[in-house]
Amino acid sequence: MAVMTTGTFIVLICATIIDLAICGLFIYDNVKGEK
Amino acid sequence: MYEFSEYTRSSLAILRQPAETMQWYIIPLFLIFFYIVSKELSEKHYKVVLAGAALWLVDLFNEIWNSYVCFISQQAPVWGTPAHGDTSLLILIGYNIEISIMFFIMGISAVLLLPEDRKKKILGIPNRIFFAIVLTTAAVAVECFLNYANILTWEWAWWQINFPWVLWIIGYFPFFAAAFYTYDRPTVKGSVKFVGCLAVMDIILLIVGAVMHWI
Repeated sequence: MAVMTTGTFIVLICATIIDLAICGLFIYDNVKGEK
Repeated sequence: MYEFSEYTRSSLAILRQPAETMQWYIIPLFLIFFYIVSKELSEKHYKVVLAGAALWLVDLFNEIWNSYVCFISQQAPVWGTPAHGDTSLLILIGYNIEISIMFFIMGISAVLLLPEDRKKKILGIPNRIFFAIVLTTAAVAVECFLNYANILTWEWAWWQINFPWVLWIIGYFPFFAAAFYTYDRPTVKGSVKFVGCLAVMDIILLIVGAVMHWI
């Protein structure tokens, strides 16, 4: 198994934030659309 | 120091080497893709095509950071497509031309499933979220099968079949989220704006990756 490095960790955190932001935008759009 | 894994070395050997990997089947496959897009455009279903583009661009975003992980760690990508998987063109370390075409078609197919009324609920859940959950789960199941078949390799402890929820949240849900969000913009201009933002983000990351030798 690969070993985590600082650079890899930073990339993964940034990527996760952007992916989750897209999910959040979508969920907010649908929940808001309900009200 | 670290060294690239065996699977990664096998992928690196064919990375962007069309003279070694190109095969004829990719031409009809591309034309099938072209037909699907042309048909939707001829029927003025612009938001359907833009939704396909959105899913494709979010996947490309994931493929770019996957490549960053590989070259920055000097060990392995989060997911890899080793040479024995027989691709026509390996574009990035875990991203081949077949995957690329597949994801655009996946975005188009996914929004065609959506009910016209976005407020309609299925099993008490807003239908867009319902379909995103169902399609994400189906896609993760296919990924697990490809991993089992050893043509999609996972070499990080937290990206494994034991943790399918990580693939679910990071790997696929954002794809359908982006496609459905694009499709539901009130105007085509709104859809184009969102897809444009995704495209700009990917282009910047590709340029940075090329300059830094991370792709």
